[in-house]
Amino acid sequence: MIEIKNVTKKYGDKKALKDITFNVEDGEIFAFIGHNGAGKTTLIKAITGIHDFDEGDILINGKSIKTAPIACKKEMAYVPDNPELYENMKAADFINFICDMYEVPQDVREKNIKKYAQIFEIEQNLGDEISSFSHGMKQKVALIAALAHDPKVLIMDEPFVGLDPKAVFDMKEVMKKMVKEGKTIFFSTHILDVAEKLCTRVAIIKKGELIKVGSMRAVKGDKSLEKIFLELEK
Amino acid sequence: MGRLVSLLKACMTEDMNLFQIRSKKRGASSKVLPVFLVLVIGFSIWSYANMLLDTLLPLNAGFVMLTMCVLVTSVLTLIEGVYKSGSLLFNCKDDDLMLSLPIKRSTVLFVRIFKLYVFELLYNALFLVPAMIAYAMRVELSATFVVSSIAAVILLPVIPIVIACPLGAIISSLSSRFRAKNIAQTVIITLFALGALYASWNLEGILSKIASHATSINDFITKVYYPAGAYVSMVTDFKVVDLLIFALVNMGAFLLVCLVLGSVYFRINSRAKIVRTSARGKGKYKIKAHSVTAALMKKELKKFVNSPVFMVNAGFSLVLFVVGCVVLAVNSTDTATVLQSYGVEGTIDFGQMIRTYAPMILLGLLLMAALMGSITSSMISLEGRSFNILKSLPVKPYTVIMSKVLTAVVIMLPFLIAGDIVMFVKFDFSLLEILMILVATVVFPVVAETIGIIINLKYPKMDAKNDAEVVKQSMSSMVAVFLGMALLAVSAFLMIKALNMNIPMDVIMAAMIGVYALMAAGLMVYARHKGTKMFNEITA
Repeated sequence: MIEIKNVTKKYGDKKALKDITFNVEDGEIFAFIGHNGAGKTTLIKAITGIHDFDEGDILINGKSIKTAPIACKKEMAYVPDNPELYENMKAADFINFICDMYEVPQDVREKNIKKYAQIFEIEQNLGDEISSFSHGMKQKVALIAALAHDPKVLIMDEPFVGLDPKAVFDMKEVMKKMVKEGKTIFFSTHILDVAEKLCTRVAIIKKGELIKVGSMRAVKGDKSLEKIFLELEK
Repeated sequence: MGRLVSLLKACMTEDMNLFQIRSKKRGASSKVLPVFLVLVIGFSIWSYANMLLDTLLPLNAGFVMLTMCVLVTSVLTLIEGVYKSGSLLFNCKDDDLMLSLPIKRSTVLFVRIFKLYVFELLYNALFLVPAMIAYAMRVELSATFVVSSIAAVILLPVIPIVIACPLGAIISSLSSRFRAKNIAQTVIITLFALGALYASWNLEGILSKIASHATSINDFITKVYYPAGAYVSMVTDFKVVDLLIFALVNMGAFLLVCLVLGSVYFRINSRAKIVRTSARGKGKYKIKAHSVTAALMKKELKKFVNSPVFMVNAGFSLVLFVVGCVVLAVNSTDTATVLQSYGVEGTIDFGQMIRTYAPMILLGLLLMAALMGSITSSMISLEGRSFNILKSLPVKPYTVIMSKVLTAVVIMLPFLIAGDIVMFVKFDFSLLEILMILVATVVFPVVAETIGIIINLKYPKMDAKNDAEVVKQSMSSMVAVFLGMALLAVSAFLMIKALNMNIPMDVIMAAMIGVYALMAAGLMVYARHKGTKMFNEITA
């Protein structure tokens, strides 16, 4: 579970996040949407402990990212919007490195890496250097690295960008399976159709302010999420 | 022309902004240390120039000091240019953007070479201007000297760059044929740099020997290296025609290298990429669990061996250390002769002196090797945008920081120990001296590399276009080098002072190692507290 409590983040005098409060429950796929520069990545980086924030708190399964960052990060996995991975490493070495950081036992990592590499059809390329990969392949490596340590909370920034249609489908299936196991998934996206079909709840952010949060049904009513989003953006 | 200006402007502000500090404290305080260190270096060179003038002026050969400065600076520029051209010309992240723009490919190449020139210009100025000031103060300050010197500062980096760029192209072309192309590139560049240094060393010896035949020096220098000779000619006997020829030769050479290199540049560049992608699907791998520290160190080592500019920068002082030890051990008499050829007068038996003070000399060499080749001062910046991966991991920042320090020490130790062993075998070290040297072999790199990482945390550059920008042009690497020089100078001064006070050598060595051990402990405490804070504040 993720609890975001009155989070404010400033860049100089400018408030990038203004008093953001909402929860993401266990067993929930939560979509976070907003226009470019609205504050989505800033909030995601605050949740994952990459950026500090000025006010409020963020709890991951009851632990504060401010006071217990390591314990929080142990339960989380993060997939960035632009997969800036270690280009000089082989894909397998990178995933193995992430597993080392999470202290994943040998048998678990072997099983998970094999499983997800098969799902994302990248088994043949695990021994290749990341620098030779396309954007989509790097994204797949980032996803496998995030999933290989069985995180309880999965946080992703634009996870579907660059993925081929088959990989998008497979990723959605993986996400559905994870929430069935009671895990929490929070991701930002501009692909509103995917958010509408996949997510149980949604939050919309505009210029650092949360303008709508709730269940997908309650937020969009009879309209499409795209229509609601465009109306709120006006 | 307008587009060229826009392109140059964009590249200069984006890539060459040496004082771009990614720190919350952008105020004057962040710039005080670098400015202070530049002043210290400038003052040191000025003092050294004055020392040379003390010897040369009675022979009426003050201009030889300028010649020596020009030659040394040009050799350094050439070495720098060769291994930096590998990154600046052949490993650019903005290749796709540049090639997609409606501009000629020769323009792209020109901008990149020009970028290299601007950096070398600043580098040259740092060494040349203090020497020129010393000359103006002691010999003459005339309008023609000022004009000649300004022209020299602007034009002298050109020829070394003109030579360095094709050499860089050849090295990139050769290394791109190897599977381990980065290692191949590093080996070739290191061999070249050692060769260039060897040649320049001999050249300086020759220059010192002919100092007494001052009248023929100018002709000699002009034959050996035209730019140095042309500058000295202008200083001693200014002619506008000489100035024009000097400018035209340099500009012509610059344009010529752009034209010649232009025909092969993009072919070499694309070949490097083909090699990378054609290897896809053929790699082998092994999944194996490691401890957190071991995994972090493995990652750092991987980065190190995959970056030729990083390896050469760090490895050069280490290779020099080993070479220095071997030279001292194999032929200390010859080394003494070389020292004498540098102008050290008197009837001192250098061979005996080296044997007597071998432990202290080794201690000094160890300190120099550790301080002059800081590895960690680039390690944070080289993370680039992937720094966020580290920040998102469930690992304490201090663990990450110290894993980088540990990796750097592990890289250095084999070289340092090899040098130690050579010296232990050749010279008579007591057991206590051997123990002290071994402790220093570990303590000095720990101090140097902890200083390096703290400097990099203070001055991170997370948006570099290539490794050379971080390793050679960033504020962090420059501050680390300057601080290393300052620390080395202070340590050497104190050791010599203590020797002059007849304090036993073992006591001086023990005190020096003790001070550095205390510094190591203090720096680690600083890294744990302030370093962690700085780590968390960095945004990539």
